[in-house]
Amino acid sequence: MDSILVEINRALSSEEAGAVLKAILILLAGVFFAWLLRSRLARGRLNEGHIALLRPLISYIVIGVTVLWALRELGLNMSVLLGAAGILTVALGFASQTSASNIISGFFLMAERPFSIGDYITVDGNTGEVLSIDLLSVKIRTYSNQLVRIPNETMLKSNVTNITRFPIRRLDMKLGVAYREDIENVREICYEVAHKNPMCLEEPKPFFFFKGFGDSALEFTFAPWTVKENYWEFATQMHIEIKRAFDNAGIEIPFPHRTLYTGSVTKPFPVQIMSADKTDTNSAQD
Amino acid sequence: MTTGRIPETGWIGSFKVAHGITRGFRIGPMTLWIQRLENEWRIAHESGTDAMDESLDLDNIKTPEQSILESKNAVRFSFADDSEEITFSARLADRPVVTRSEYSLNVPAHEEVAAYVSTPLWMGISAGRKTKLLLEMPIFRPSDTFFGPSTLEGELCYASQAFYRLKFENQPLLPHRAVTAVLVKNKSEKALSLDLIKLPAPNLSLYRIGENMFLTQDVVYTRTEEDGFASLQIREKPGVNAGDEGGKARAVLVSEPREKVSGNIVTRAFSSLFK
Repeated sequence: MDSILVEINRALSSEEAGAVLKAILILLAGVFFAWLLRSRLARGRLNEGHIALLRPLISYIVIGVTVLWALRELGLNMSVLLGAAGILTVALGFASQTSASNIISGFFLMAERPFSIGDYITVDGNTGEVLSIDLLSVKIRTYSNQLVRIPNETMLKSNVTNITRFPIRRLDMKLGVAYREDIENVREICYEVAHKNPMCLEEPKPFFFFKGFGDSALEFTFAPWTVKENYWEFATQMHIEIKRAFDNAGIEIPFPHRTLYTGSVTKPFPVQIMSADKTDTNSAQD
Repeated sequence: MTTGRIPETGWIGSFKVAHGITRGFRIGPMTLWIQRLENEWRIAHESGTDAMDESLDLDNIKTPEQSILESKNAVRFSFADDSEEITFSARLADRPVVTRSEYSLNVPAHEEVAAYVSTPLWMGISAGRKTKLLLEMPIFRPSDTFFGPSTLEGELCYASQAFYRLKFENQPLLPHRAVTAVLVKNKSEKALSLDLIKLPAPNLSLYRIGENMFLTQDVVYTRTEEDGFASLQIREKPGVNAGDEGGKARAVLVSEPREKVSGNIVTRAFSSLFK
């Protein structure tokens, strides 16, 4: 390090004003070139995520090369500098394994393009809107307006669900009705409710799937489609409207039932009816 | 569907609503109330469930309970202009409209068919001497639908509540819907299935014949070869629907297209026009 300083001092004290001026011009040209590349990047076909990732990288590389060039013009012995840089690189390499991994993961993410800025994704249990795709991490804003920073390496290793990649979404409603109900009638009512809701897409058609005989109910899935922007509003409306339609048609949505048998050889459970006064007294004693 | 003769008076135009007065209008399935207050217009509406409701009443709608105009559904507009005129205008839908056939229909090779498609109208409400647009809304909100080759790609459209018809007389002429003649020419060697037709409503102009008969420019789809493309041509004026030459001449332009297409013939992917 001392030798570098000596070299710089020597270069400056040599009064080679022309070399200094040249070095300054090179630096200015480098800054301008970096700015030009960055602005060109914005006008290209790349998406926002790629731009966010490439912009700082281009700046670092162009300015780094420019600085080296300017130092060379000042008469600095580059072999000394590069030697020092080599040692520094090894030290930094050990210290920044995680960062390097995140940067490289960032490039893989850029190539794979599983999501873009503005998409809603779920990663490691966090769901939110992608705010930025940076050199080291992806930042998402959750529904409750919290910022979550997810390292690029984690993004690459985890299962990422892109909720808003496609223009339409299916709402899977898991429903159940009492055993005595006519499942055909239930299906008709579900379709009618969907048909009346303007947010429900006519195409693709809603999907009705009878899952089977559950513990307490005839279980089925009703899955209408809607535009991704309407999803939450649609989900709320459909659940309310299905419940209302079932109530109007006298269709029971059962909660878990448990039937207790005492067995054929045992006597029925004894039932004792207590007066309200006595119950109150017992409650008070408890 | 209610029955009854459509009144001769049209709903497009200007109406007077005096200060402190609430006036009601019934246009198809929608009932609209407009109240003029000092420096304020207040608008509320209710929508029925029958998309093909024929009703049209511009004078005899009972004044609603005041609560309707004070509810959350009412929209208020602050206005310095003390004009008492409110103007109604009509436009076609802001997205393409998809219409299905009542029964499955195929067009054999080198055949053509004319289909009559009914699409809902949007109503614009303007006020003031300079007629500033207060709001625009569908008279009957059609359902959304997605039209495309798969759930991954396609276009968000509206679903027309009416089937397309092969005879103009069979398509009800309603004061809140427009009819478009769609000519489908199948010049390919394969039969063409016409279960669904997508009408580019935002690209069409709206015309009126008489007071309450709304038509659009005719549309011609031509499927030529097996290359997966079809051409879409928008004709200059309503032709087939308007009937005789006199009818064509009487067609009055009501509104320009929302989105103008460059040139009158556009080539589109076949799968983006029919199914």
